[in-house]
Amino acid sequence: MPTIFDILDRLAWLRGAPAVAVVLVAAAVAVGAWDIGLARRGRTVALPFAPLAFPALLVVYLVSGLLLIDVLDPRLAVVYVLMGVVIALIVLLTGAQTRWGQPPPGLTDAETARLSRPRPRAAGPLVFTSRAVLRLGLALAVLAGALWLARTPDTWLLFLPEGRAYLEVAVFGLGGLGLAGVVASPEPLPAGVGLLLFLLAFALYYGMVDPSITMVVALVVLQLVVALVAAYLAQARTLPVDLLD
Amino acid sequence: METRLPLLVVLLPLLAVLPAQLLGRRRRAATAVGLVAVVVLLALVALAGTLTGDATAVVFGPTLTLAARARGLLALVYVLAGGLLLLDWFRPVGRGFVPLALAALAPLAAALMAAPAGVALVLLAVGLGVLAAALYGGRYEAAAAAWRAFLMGVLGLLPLLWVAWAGAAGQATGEPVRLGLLLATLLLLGGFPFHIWLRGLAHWASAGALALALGLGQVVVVALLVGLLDVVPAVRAAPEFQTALRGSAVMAALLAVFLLAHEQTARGALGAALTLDAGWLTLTALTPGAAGLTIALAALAGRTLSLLLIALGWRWPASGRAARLGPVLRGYGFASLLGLPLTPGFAARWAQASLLGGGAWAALGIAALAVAAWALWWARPAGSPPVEAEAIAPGRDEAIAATVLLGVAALLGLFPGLLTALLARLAG
Repeated sequence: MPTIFDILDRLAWLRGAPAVAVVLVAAAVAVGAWDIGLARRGRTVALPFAPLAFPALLVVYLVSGLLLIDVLDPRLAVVYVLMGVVIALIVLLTGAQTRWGQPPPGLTDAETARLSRPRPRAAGPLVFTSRAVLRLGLALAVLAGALWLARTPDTWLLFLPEGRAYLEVAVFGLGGLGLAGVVASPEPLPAGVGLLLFLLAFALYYGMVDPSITMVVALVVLQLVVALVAAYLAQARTLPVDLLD
Repeated sequence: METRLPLLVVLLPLLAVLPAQLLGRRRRAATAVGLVAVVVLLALVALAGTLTGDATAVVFGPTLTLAARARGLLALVYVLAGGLLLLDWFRPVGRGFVPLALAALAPLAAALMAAPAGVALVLLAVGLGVLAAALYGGRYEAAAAAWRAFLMGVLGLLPLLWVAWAGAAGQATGEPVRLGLLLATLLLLGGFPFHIWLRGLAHWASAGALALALGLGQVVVVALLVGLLDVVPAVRAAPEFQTALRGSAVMAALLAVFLLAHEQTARGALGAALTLDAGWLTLTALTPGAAGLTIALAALAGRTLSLLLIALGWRWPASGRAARLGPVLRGYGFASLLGLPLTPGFAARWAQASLLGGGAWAALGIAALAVAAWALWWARPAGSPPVEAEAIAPGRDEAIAATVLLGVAALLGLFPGLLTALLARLAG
């Protein structure tokens, strides 16, 4: 059975800047996939893109492990990766149970109005809300900013060792994408995904300054708590209790 | 002194959650379990005070210490929790209120005792998560507001985590630390311009759950915040930091005046009053050590008492026996939340006004407070119950309890020194 170090050797080609690129693109998908879907002929409900948030989040956590081993003991970095898989599964289960934010069929107009969901618009085959446009715009702006930061290394995190400038891009890119997810949605699940990305960026930064096992465990607990609270409140936001009855 | 007492203080409320949850359908039995747990916890804290040296327990690395300040703060937290459970005894606060309140007591107590500070902050985040569930309380519309409250709390904790590390590493200097602590103060306490979550909560959450999260919960938030601000005394001395907090407080007061004059509903008026109260609470970050903590605790004790009065008054019937008590409970609760004279909220508000530092800030702040008081009197919704409130006919014991609560509040309003002297002792 391969050890952690065998796996790291096999993934050596992905370490460094390529890992940052993969993480940021996947994070942008996890943030931007909500409130947008594909119209289907003969059906009133669009095919949502939101389920893409699950594989995107999984990729973010798996590949960010390659960045975390640059700042933490590899065995501690693996704890983060395992925690990330659990969080991605929490998002998958909650998303499936809450129909990825789509109201259930068969509601009356009054009941739908009570859900206070934004009115969808259509452009060609796409159905989206204004929040989705805002979120995509912010995500693209952050990606452009990350690209600029990659071309001007050592701009903000001056203490990074030589050859690790890509970590700066990862921290600020993930943090920016996380904030984009947080500010562009009032709903717990999409905003929760944004907050989780922001916390991952914070954990990456914090690992550079304080790589102690106590704080690694504390930050893992913090991310799990955020995932659980977002999942709980997302369930609560699916339907009013009296409508469920 | 190495003992298991701190561990017991954390585990006992968790053990009480199970019977309280199982007795969910028998509300008063569940509340009785909660009250017994709170009394036992108070006894444990008192017992810890009789030991020679501070009771300490090491749990997987981090240390839990029942130091004098932690004991005082825990005593306050448990007394406030007891008051909220008594409220639930008479009027159901929300779905699963008792188990959630008990579950929140465990991480909040651990946060007050834990070292290093980073672990304490993460434990506080766990507590905020449980409080978010209590704020939801089975109300669909409250879920989004509860999420925003939790979100702001977590975002506010992150700069504190960084400052905790920087303080321990001797690197807590410069502009980033100042900015981090300012952001943390405004985000965690709900200062302007990060006050939006307060209005959502006031609109949708039950008043009892608000007292739990914004009264009792904020005691722990304030304790950790003041503790970390004391690590970096240069931040408080910075004119930029002081100006930002004073400006935020005055803006919160002006916004509250505008909202109070325009709100059409009782819940809207509550949101406005909470905006003002939270905006002025941030001023306590300007006073170092136990003095700052005492002002903050007085403000939070006043807030909890005000919300208890409002919670009782909102569901008081307009006719029948003791009908006159309803408007008195509501009106006095609102006046206390604004911090008007002769109310329990006045002691802290007076101290906060002195922190405005004289000059234009103080004049503007006090003028805004005076206009807010006028707007409160002028805006009828503050004196009326919310539209959806279902009045419950009070029993004789409840009318007595409400009168006693009103009497205690009036006593603290007449003699504000009583509250501040007691809280100064608790804050060490």
